[in-house]
Amino acid sequence: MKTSKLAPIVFLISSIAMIALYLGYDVADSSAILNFRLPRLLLAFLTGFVLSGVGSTYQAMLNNPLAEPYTLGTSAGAALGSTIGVILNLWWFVPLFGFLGALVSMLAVWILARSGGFLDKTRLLLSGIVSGMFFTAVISLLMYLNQQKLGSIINILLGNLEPVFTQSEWQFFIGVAGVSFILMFYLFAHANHLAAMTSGDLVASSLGVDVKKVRIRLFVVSSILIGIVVSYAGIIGFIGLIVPHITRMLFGVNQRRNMITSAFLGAVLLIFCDFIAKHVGKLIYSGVAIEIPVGVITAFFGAPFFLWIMMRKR
Amino acid sequence: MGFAPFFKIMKRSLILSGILMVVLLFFFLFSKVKNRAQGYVVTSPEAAEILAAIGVEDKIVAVTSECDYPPSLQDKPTVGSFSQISIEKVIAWNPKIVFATVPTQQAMISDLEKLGITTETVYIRTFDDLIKTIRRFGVLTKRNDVANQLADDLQQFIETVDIGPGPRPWVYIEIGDQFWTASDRTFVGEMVKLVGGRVLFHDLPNDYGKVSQEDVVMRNPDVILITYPGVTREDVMNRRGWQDVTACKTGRIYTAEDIDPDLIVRATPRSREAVVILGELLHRLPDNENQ
Repeated sequence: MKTSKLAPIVFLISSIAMIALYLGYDVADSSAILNFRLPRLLLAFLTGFVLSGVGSTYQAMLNNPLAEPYTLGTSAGAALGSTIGVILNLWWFVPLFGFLGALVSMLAVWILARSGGFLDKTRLLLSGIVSGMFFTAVISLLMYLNQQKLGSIINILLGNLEPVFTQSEWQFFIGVAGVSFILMFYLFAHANHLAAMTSGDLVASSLGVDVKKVRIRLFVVSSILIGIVVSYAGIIGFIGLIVPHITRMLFGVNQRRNMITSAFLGAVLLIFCDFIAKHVGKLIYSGVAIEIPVGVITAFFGAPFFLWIMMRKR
Repeated sequence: MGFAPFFKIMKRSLILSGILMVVLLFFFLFSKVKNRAQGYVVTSPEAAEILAAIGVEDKIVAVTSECDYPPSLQDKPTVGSFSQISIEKVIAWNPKIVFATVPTQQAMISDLEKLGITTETVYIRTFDDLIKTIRRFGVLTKRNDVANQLADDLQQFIETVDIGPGPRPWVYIEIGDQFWTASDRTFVGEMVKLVGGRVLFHDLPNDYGKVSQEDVVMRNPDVILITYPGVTREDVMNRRGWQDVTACKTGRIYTAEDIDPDLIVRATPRSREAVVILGELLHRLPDNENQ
């Protein structure tokens, strides 16, 4: 009883400390904070928020503890869409391309995983992994054929939270981020439906949830969100997978609470990972700070955690 | 009931394969004699320019699509592009020597060496390297006199270059998309130093590397040098947060419009021209100091 009351306070204090550290550590002056740290913080926050929130949604909606945008191939689909946008030089429409890619990959996974009118758990993950591999292969091919866009495509593949903005692109991004937060609250509003769906489609239907309709709506909304986030930040894995599990352990299994706390914890955790990615290079080499792609850091934390969940479930 | 039928088949197939082997042997011997072309396959644009400058362009039989100077090289057959070479096509030319750039083409070089093909690699970081490479190519192609003359001229020219008047500017060299930059242990870094500039990221752990834009702005370069096409001065000035950078305030941003990217990233006899242009650019007065 006591720990569950203490946990939110500890979480709040440590996340404020993390954000302060992220903004203020080893910074030249206030203009650097305003021009580089703050946009990066906003993108990291948004990305972690969306990936974990959508991860929690997927896990409930598909009734599968290993579902997340990365394992289901949605991120890879969105990344392929964004890569095509980048190659065509359509910078303003890259989020739209990301959304289309996410939608296509989601549809592909859905069609592959359907068996006898129901979604099959194992087939879902397998088709997600397979389509993810396929989309990544297509990105690699495009990278091979378009060497002058190498830097941008590597950023999409490995995750990068410091995009180059012009002033107008920055304003556009703030708008897009606002829309994303609103869409996230739309997801949160479906928490009760999702809670019913964790008991299986049959139970949910008997409780009056139009399972098919809810699923389609949530698929489209989450594809928009993943498309936006991946087009700016690239593929960042494991955040959407591990965070809902951590919050379930810390705060219990209430779906609404799980979604909201997952989103916030995911945001803070990604900020933490990006902090490490930005500054760990200085430990190895004392000249210029060489940054490590943030996707590498999340995989370092996420992969052992993934294994641990697998072992525990057995 | 014996092994007789089996032996019969075996005998026949032995004779057949014997005949086949003799035919193949003749075919190979014949084709070897016929195919004894003694040309150079050049996959390195830098090596191609040096070879052309010492007058052996006619011995080059095949190039990569990036080998575009002198322009007459573009009429030669290609074996692929700089980073995507068809090793089969290289071997098919049966070259006397293959000239390549390392480390980019190291994989191809290793394969060719396994096949016993003579290879020459270039990785030029300084004018000293360049002069030595010219002399070495002269020996290889038996054009010592021309090559040594060229090398001596270049040596003399380098000795006349000075760092110019005024304070030495910090130069941020952007060699590729997403803040790929060069250290001072590269040829472009050497040229910047030669004409009096200082390389902003001289302390990169590798010769080339990716930095964060926050670090670029924090180090505040006096001059920005973009060595790849597709980025204009306005693009750089419009990057958010760059308006306080000295180079953006003074407009000392030089792109592909001011200096041909090939001229500045390649180490060739043409680099003399690059040094002259670069020296003029680095010491050009800022637009707003012309009162």
